[in-house]
Amino acid sequence: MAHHHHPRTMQTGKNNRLFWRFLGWYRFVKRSAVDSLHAIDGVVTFVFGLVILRDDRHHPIAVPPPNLGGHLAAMVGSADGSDVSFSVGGETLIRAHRAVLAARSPVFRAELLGSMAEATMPCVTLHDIELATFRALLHFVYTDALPPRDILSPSFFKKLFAAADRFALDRLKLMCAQKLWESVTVETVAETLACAEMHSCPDLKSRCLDFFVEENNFRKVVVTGGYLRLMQGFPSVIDEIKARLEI
Amino acid sequence: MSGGGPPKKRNFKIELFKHRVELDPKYAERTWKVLEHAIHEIYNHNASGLSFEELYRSAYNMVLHKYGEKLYDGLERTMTWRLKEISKSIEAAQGGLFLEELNAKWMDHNKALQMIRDILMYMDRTYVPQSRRTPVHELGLNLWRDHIIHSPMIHSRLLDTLLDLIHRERMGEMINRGLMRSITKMLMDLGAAVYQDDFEKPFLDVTASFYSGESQEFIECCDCGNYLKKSERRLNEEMERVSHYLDAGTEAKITSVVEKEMIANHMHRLVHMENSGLVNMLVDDKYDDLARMYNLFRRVFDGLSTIRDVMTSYLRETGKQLVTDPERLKDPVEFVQRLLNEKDKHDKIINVAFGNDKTFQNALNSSFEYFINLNNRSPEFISLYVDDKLRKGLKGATEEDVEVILDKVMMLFRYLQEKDVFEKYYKQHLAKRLLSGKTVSDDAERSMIVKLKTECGYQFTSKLEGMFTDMKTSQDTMIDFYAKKSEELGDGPTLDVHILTTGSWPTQPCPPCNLPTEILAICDKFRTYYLGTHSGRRLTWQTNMGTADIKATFGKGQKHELNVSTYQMCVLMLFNSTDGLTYKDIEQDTAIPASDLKRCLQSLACVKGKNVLRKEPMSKDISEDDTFYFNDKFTSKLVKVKIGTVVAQKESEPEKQETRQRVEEDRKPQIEAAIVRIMKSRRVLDHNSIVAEVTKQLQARFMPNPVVIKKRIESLIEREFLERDKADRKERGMRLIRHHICPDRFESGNRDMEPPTQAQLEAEVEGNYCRSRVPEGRRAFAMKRHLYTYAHASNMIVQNRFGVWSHRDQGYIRRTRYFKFVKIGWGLSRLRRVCQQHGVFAWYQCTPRREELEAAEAGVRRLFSRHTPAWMKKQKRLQRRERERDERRLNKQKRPLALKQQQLKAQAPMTRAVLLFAYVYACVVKLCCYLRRIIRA
Repeated sequence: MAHHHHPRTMQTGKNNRLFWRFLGWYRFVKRSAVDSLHAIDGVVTFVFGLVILRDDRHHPIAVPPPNLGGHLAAMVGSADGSDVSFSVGGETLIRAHRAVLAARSPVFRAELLGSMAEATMPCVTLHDIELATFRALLHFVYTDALPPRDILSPSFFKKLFAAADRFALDRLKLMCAQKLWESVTVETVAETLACAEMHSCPDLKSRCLDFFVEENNFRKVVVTGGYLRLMQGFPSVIDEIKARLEI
Repeated sequence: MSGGGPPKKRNFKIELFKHRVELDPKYAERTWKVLEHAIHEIYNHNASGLSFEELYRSAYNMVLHKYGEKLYDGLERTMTWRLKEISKSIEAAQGGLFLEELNAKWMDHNKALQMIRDILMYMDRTYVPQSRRTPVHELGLNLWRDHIIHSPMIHSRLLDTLLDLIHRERMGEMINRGLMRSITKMLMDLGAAVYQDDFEKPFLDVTASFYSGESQEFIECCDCGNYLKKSERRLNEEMERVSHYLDAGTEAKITSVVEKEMIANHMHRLVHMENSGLVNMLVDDKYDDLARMYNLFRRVFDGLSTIRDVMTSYLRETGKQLVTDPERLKDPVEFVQRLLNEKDKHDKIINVAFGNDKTFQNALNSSFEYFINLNNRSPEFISLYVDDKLRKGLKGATEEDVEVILDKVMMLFRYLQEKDVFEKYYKQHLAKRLLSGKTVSDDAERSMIVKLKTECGYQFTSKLEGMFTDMKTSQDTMIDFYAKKSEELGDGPTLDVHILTTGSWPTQPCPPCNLPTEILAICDKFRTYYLGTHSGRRLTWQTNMGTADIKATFGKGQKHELNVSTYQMCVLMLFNSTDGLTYKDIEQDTAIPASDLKRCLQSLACVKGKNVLRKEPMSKDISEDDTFYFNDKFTSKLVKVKIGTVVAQKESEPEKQETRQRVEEDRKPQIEAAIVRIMKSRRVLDHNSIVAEVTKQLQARFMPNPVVIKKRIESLIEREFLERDKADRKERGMRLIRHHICPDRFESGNRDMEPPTQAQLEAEVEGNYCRSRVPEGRRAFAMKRHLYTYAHASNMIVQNRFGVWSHRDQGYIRRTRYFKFVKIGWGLSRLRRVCQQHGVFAWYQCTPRREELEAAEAGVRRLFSRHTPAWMKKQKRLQRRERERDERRLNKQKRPLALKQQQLKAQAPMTRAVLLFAYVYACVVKLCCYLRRIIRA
């Protein structure tokens, strides 16, 4: 029905000469009018026709989507051009690239490009981190995304969350926080809360608190073991819960 | 923190609290020891042996387990202790090594701080913002500031060392700029406040006292130019110093200190310095020095105005001498040339040295305006200068040169206050040039006129242009005259007549002299020819302005062609019949006015080489008892001899008085016109305001004298154009009683340069009044036809005996064929109403937009504006018949009121038909279903 060739406006003005040829409604109609005139058994059928006038000048050249992540994912753990390796959880050596790590995390930058021992060591031993966690972390460092594995348990995310906090990868930290939040239940909320408090993630913490103090949840949560440990480990969180309950 | 019990069943819980399990009460203490050791190692340059991973993890664990405070305090304590050590080693540094040591330690500290920050990064990120403490790097800087820079042993020593180094550099020594740079950078890194308080302020004080002494020394022994050179060098040095090793923010402060000490404090002394001050620089065209002075003085408050004031007073002084020196007034051309040279000189100074500063240009202009108007002969002289240039001065000059000279003259002209006096003289000089054919270049003349026109408007030059037109028409007339009358004339003398329009030319009425008979005959022929072609005109011969070419044969038979004036021709022709004549005879025979006669006889008889007459007795002057003889022995190398009249180039004193008087007379009507113009718009105004406004309005042409204005006001009151406000006589309030005067007519009415009489004024006023009042109602007929076009027809709603009311145009338009649209328009609105009454809700319920409605109406109108097709007529007829039948039936049956609805419905077919047309025409398909429904109903 698009008779007019004007590129943008669908409505012609009063002074437009094409007015005569432009058909259609410009405004709302009373429902009663539609019902009484057009409805057949309470159904109104609309028929549309659309003519798109393509103009090749304005049609862009097709550019493929960005694929930086894909290319970098291939480099994870690869020996090509690698200039450092990590020893995690005992013997395993994981190859990595100083430049990439330094670009992504200030901790790695200070470690690998600083003036301390690691700057010249070919192999760096990492303590207090599991292999799987470190692999996931490396994947994120190279590709800015979580590893594409379907089954990643909440406990795994807790570890990754802690690691992200340790290596100052804020985006990864929040991605993990989101995953943790998604998996929060009455049983796990106390643990998650403790985790958020320990690794200072105010977003996750306030959500957990909100979840915690809900009437139904609260009664169930206070009898879990996690809550007891929370009470022992983080008395300040208990104070906050009290303050919320009083409101 | 005790009692983090061992984990129980769930896996991830166990892992989460794993570290806690391992913690023993001494964990924190032990970990801190490791970190403390590392910090010491870092300060000892042994960092390369440390494991970052281990240290970072230790710090991370400490913070994670709430030992952040312990960590932070420990760091602060350790760093303070290290800095105290460093401070001691710096204090121990001797002499020149002090700064080096300080710098070295600062570098070390910075490096160590960097590493400490790295290993404590987790603390910096979590613990520090949570507990609102100073970040590690800043803490390190603060500690450095407090324990090193502000340590009593170092603080004053550092400042003294820095200032001493700068002083030595000012005295010409080389210093280590790199070191200075890193020290000032250190001060800046510690915070702008540290730099400003601990270094900048004392530095500025020392600088001020240094330059105060130095400038005193310089000004005693140097002249102005040298002093400025030195100041400039010092200023550049300071700016360079800032760029090399001080903070950029210091530049403005240090330059202002130097400016104040070196320039502002000695400004007046410098400008007025004897033999080398500003005036001397101006006289000697010292562009470099002037530019330097301008650039330096521009930096200080009042600097430029000081220069400007001195320059202005100097210009006024010299200018005054220039225009009032009687020696220099002798030659007008020389006089104007001198003014132009002066202007050029100062223009160049302003251009080259003062960066074309607008304020200086204004000062120059105002000075010129001041002194040019001191001499009331300036307008005459400028006109004479132009005359000179256009007569001969421009011979051989290119068009551009001419333009340049004329532009310069226009510049002087702009300074004139009495522009009308200039106009008067220019007219005289132009007339002489045109009539004697002395103009060198017509283009140059025209260019000058155009310039005057752009400067002063059309009024100013209309008469000058009239003169050019006269010249052109005269030429055409003469060609025509000779073409038509050549056979009648035979081979008598040739006549070339210029016909001058009265008023355009500065002619003085003069009695015509007695022309020789040969000439008189052809003159009469021309007169009859001219009056024959132009009826209603009057010709007067201006014999005082013409020239003549005469062939003369002298004693030895040599022939010459003499170029003489008309008067001289008359005199010479007398000698065809006699050899000698007395002065009295000549005067009697020719009837030339005595002064002119004397002048022309003088040029004929007394100029060596051109004496075609011989006078007895021989003397320079003509007296009334002289006798003149034909000079047989006249010889000349040239065949053509030009005998110019002895013309006074400059006006003589009485002539000048006369011109002045004429100018004054001309000003009267202009002042009157201005007064009336002002009163027309202001209605009531007190006397002083009138004078001020009139002065403002007429400034472009001349400066009216307040006394004259007062007289003019009184004259207008006398003629009842104004009246005194009775309520407030003291204030001299004026009220205009005749307010319908057209000021433009008023002005242009004075073609003959006489003030308007009462009757003339009245006539002007009346005539004008009538013309300006166009009857209101007629205006509509002047409207353009396209306004009635189809697009606007929809707005024609009302009609009455005046015509058609157009809503869009807010007025009546003529009864035309569009008239019928109106009827239809009315019909449609009624139609809508009828539709509603009949319960045809389609129209009403969907409330069509105004545009749609109008479009529909327009469609109907279009339909009806053409010839109504036969089928439609038929349909109408049928409808009418049907209606009539229905009515008849109704009347017959006399149905009750309840049935009225049906009766009305019977009218519907007509409605439907019209509607259908409207929408079919407009292609509004959407209504079709409605219509179908109506029909079905």
